[in-house]
Amino acid sequence: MSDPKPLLVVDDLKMHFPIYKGALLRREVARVRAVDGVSFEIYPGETLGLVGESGCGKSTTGRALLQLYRPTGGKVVFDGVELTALKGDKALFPYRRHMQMIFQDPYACLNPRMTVGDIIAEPLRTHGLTPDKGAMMEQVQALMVRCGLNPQYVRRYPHEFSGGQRQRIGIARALATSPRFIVCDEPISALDVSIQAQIMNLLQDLQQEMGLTYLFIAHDLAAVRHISDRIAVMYLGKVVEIADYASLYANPRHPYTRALISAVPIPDPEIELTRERIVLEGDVPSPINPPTGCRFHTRCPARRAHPEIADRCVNEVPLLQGDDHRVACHLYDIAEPRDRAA
Amino acid sequence: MSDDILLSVEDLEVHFKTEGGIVKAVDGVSFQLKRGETLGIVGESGSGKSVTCNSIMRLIPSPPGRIAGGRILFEGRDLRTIPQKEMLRLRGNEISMIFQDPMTSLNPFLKVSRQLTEVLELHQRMTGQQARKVALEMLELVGIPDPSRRFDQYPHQFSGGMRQRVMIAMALLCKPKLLIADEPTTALDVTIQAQILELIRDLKEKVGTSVILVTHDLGVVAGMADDLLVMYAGKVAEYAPARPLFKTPAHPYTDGLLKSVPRLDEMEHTRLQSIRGLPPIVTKLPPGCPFRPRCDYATEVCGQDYPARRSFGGPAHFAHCHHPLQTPDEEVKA
Ligand SMILES: Nc1ncnc2c1ncn2[C@@H]1O[C@H](COP(=O)(O)OP(=O)(O)OP(=O)(O)O)[C@@H](O)[C@H]1O
Ligand SMILES: Nc1ncnc2c1ncn2[C@@H]1O[C@H](COP(=O)(O)OP(=O)(O)OP(=O)(O)O)[C@@H](O)[C@H]1O
Ligand code: SF4
Ligand code: SF4
Ligand SMILES: [Mg+2]
Ligand SMILES: [Mg+2]
Repeated sequence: MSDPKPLLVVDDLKMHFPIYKGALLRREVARVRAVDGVSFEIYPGETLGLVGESGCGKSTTGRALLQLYRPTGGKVVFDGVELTALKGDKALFPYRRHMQMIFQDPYACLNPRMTVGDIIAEPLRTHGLTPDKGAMMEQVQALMVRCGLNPQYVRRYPHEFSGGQRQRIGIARALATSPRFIVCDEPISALDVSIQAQIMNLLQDLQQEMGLTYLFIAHDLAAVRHISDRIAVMYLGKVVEIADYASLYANPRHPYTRALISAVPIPDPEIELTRERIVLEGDVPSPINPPTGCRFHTRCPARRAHPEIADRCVNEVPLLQGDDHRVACHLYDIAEPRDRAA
Repeated sequence: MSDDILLSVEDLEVHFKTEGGIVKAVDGVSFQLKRGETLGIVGESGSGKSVTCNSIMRLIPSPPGRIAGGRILFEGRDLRTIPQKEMLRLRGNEISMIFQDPMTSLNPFLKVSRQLTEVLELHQRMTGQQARKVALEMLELVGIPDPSRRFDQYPHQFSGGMRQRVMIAMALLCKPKLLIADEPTTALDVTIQAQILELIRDLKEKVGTSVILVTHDLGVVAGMADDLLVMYAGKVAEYAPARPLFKTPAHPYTDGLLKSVPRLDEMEHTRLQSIRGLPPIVTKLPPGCPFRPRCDYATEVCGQDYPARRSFGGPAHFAHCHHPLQTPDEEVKA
């Protein structure tokens, strides 16, 4: 399904946030390495899923791709244009309409004093895309219909809508400028189970119709697997594994991916009864002071089982390697990755 | 029969006075919980799961809330009518509750050690030293690494998962007969959720505690619950042991819910069958079956009469639906 030429290339992306101390002489005392050397590419029309636990850097990656944060290192190339080389908002402006974002909490990002119609029309105005008022209204109402909203509600305010409806408003607004690429940051996490499926179906339908490309961020691996063509797994600012959705589940290689998969409950009592469970110990360490070498080494069950690599895990950063199915783990350095997978 | 039943809730009704009118947050809910078993309660936001749990704990704020009807029998005694003093004793000793947000039960200004030992000194009349020993053991049991070092820290010095453990430790100190867990893992990451669920499983086995587990995650209850209660708009849609509930659901809402969640083990990408429409507004429920506006099987009668309770393959599995997806046993009177 992948076109040979990627729409988006991310190369060694870094986003470090400085932490300052002192009122007068502000000096940097530490850095949050929120995203610390992430590389992947996204092909036109595909969905790349991004999973990982709270604080691992998913949202920061999404924002840095869209240049909502200017990355502190690495490259983001969109349709052949190196966005990270463009200086200033003016230079970026023409590209912004092609790259949009959908957020987790639709309420927090919808202006409570604007009508739904104005909210959806705002990006059209910003980008000067619709000249006259009548055409604008028509376009807004068409977007509402497309996103499953009653166009008669165009003059209502966000608080008059349910969570699922607000998410539809957020989607309609993101679609207004006919973008090619959308970062969906936890678009279903705040919704009721029965509404999550509606929104996922809507996102899939829109993708088909409009040829959209998605980065779908969520901590729910089952949802990510359902909607994604390929999946990248993040841990503490790094991508540890990236593969197509089927092989990531059928043949996970990174010890963290394995633990993550085994931790996701499956709604079937018979399967739950007999499943293998890998229960990880401890918590995710802080991105201010991440562990040396492999960042997962403090919790990794595989490292304990493989004393021959235990030291390297502590001292050497494993590189993401492989062709279609890439993994960053010393277990796979020794032999051909494919042989070790079994 | 009654001896192995720890808790029996019968026709519970809880009302709230609001600007929009009386909200029947819980409307005729009945279930039984056996000793050592786990009951899972699922349903959408606002369906009455927390209100049901809070009623058992006698934690309904009044006003605006009021338990308007029904009985809550704990070992045969009605928790609605026992004296407040007796209720307080039960709450510390025999029934404990854990919440989604651990800070609702932890005091941010007290050291963890104090919060744990206080419970023991108060309820079990232990000396300071005994209490300290027992509390430390409990922290160890719930998997706090290096508990003696962490013992004298404050809650904010713990991570979210660790705080959840401290709260569980506190809830289990008195080895309660009943543990009510209201979305205990919703705010946590899956690997931490797995740790906490493993812990609850383990303690159930060791202590023999009965558990009520509230969650919106059908996967979580699939691996934890013996029986399941599916709530919709304050009412019981379906009640069943876990296997038949997941395999042969009788209520269209249960069926829809199961089909609308993506499964990690799905082989190919299929389209989810979503439930159409929106969750109900409890102040504006339609007459008849509350699920009717979203139900594919609805007929005229669904808009007129609330469906009576019908059982499926024995009384352990029942649902309220005029057109159930399974063949009902003989019609029973509601
Ligand atoms: N603007 C900021 N300034 C400083 N630190 C930040 C900033 N934004 C994010 N961080 C930190 O960067 C790390 C990654 O955060 P991010 O929000 O990207 O995680 P996430 O994977 O999206 O988590 P979640 O699942 O909780 O949304 C966290 O430790 C966070 O505290
Ligand atoms: N203090 C209160 N005052 C007024 N209404 C209340 C109060 N507490 C609960 N309710 C109402 O009772 C109904 C049931 O609420 P409850 O908290 O039990 O839902 P829930 O199933 O636990 O939902 P969630 O999944 O969101 O936790 C809701 O409609 C709610 O608005
Ligand atoms: S590199 Fe070592 S510590 Fe890291 S995941 Fe692989 S085995 Fe575990
Ligand atoms: S009673 Fe009617 S509307 Fe209600 S769930 Fe059954 S078929 Fe659907
Ligand atoms: Mg995020
Ligand atoms: Mg609740």
